[in-house]
Amino acid sequence: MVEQEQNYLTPEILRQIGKEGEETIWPEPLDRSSLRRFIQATRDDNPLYYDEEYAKSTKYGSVIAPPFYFHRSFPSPLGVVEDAEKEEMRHRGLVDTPGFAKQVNAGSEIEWFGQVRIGDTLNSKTVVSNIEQKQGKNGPMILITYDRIIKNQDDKLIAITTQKSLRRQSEGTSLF
Amino acid sequence: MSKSKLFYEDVNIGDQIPQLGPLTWNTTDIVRFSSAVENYEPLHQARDWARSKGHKDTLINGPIRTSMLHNMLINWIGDDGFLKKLSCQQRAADHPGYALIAKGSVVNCYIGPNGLGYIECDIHIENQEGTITAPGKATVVLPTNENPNVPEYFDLPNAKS
Amino acid sequence: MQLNYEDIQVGSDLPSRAWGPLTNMDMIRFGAAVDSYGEIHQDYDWCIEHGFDNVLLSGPFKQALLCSWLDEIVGNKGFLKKIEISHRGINYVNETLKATGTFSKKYIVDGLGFVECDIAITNDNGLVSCPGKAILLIPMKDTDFIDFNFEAPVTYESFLHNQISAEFSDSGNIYLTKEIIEMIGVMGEPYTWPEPLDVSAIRRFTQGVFETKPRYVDIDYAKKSSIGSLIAPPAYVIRPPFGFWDKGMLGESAIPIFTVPNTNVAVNGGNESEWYKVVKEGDTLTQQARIIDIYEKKGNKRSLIPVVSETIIVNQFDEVVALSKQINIRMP
Repeated sequence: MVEQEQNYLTPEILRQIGKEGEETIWPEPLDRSSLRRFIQATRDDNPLYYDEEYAKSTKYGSVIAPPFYFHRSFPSPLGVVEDAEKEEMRHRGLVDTPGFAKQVNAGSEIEWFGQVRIGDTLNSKTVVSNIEQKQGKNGPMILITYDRIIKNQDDKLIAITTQKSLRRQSEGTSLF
Repeated sequence: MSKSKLFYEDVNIGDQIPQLGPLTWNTTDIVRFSSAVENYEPLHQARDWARSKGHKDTLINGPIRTSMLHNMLINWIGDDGFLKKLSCQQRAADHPGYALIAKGSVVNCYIGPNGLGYIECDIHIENQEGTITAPGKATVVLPTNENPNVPEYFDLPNAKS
Repeated sequence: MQLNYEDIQVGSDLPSRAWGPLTNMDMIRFGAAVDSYGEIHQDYDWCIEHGFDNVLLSGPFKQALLCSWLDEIVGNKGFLKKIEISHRGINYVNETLKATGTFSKKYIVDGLGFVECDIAITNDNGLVSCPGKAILLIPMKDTDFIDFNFEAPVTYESFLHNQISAEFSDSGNIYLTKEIIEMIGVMGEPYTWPEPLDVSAIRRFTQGVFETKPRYVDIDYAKKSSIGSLIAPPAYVIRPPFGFWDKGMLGESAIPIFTVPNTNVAVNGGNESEWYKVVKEGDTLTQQARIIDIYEKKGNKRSLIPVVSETIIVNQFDEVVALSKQINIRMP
């Protein structure tokens, strides 16, 4: 299929580069049930993350969260019942690409700077750092890059994530 | 899981990281993961919805694959190492029922300005067909014989370029 | 607006409430809140392959919605004391469910006002899926607060030591064999919650049932209240022990597991639960269950074999916080 390489990056789309999301914060400090669910779900059996007796014998002295734990949604706080659409929009709704509604996660790069413990509250701020057009084997795609800066309650830097989202042509302006 | 105590001096370029898996991710496993991270996107959980959007089936969450790579590295470096960087490209879709393996090998070793051992690795997820669906890279920090204490916090100057 | 005992007219209707259309994600979110995972409540393909129209809304989900609705009606000072429902029909995702009820009785015991009601869930097609009853604790006018603190009819010790058994008499019955009759009275293992009740667990559950009552979701309110801390919604207290570390992680139940011969299907027939104490943030619960009856109910086309179990739920002080009777129906 031969197609002209049309430029789909309108000024409206490109204007969204640099857009910052709201700062989001964990709905409550990290507690044991959240940590347990994550460990069970990731099928991780490292006792450093759940066994206090074992963790005492390590340099950490107490249970810590697996480094990847922070890479989770920031759901609504206690008392707020939000539907899935709203939660989704908060995380990835920074960029609207009409005509390119089919989105997949195209990869992420994380750099860690610190560990997370029970009782910590993390906050996150996301910035749209780039929007580019790519040519895929099935047609044009829009690649969006986000930088997410994660800190804890003491303003200690925990991680920076660079996330890429790839959008393919599909009807609709909304992701749902 | 290993309680390994891996030192920089134990590692050589070309070493294979002990693989993780194969782990099969069926719909229940996928939903459990999505629930743990409170991601209720239908893309990973509503099969009819995913198909209505043109996908073959729901997709195994990118973070599921990233977490397997993460677990492989953590198991390898043990409690004293520090997982510094992890990147992975979500190259191809994996779907419910697929069995995934995390693999990796060491491509570079150097002593950092802080005197700690830095190991760079190529890593990837491959599925039961042998297709590499999520290739990536990682950097881990290891204790050295001279500097056996890897800190709990690192400063920003180590930020990615 | 606080409902008062004096204002209740027996025979009048409860204010109704509707939820929906309930989505696949709503069902998954509720399941996640109680660590319950399984294709029947999550996987569209599995459900279609097994002859269903769509993903099913679970019995516990519907029961939890009813509990939340009743909790809203009793107001900030009232409590839900007991609920009893049968699961008579299947509800699927995309349905809208409506809760309705009628006040049937009211009486005062030890100065506390109890109000009974008949309740049900109905969907947009008129299918009544959860008929049942509830007992509410409604404050009298001028009551500052009700101390929700009752003695259960059993203690943990008496529950454990009470022997139940049944006579095996009908050797011709293809379901109620000697081995099955011997299951009556069998006690399961105790299951202790993997961690004390914490805020994220309360949050997930309240979000899962669209709960906004301050005693469950407002930390400041809860701290200033007579209880002094957040508490668990009653439906959360009776959740099965899923997600536990070495037991129950894959969905094992506290109720002893066994197969009734000549049956292939097991469905949730209903639940009857009564609460005796509140469960506060920081409390750790233990539950233990016993089979108390198994019998045959002959239907038009086939037999039903209800397996009835009773679960005792105690806190870290061994106080009984709830008793829950579960009916699991086996069918050919």
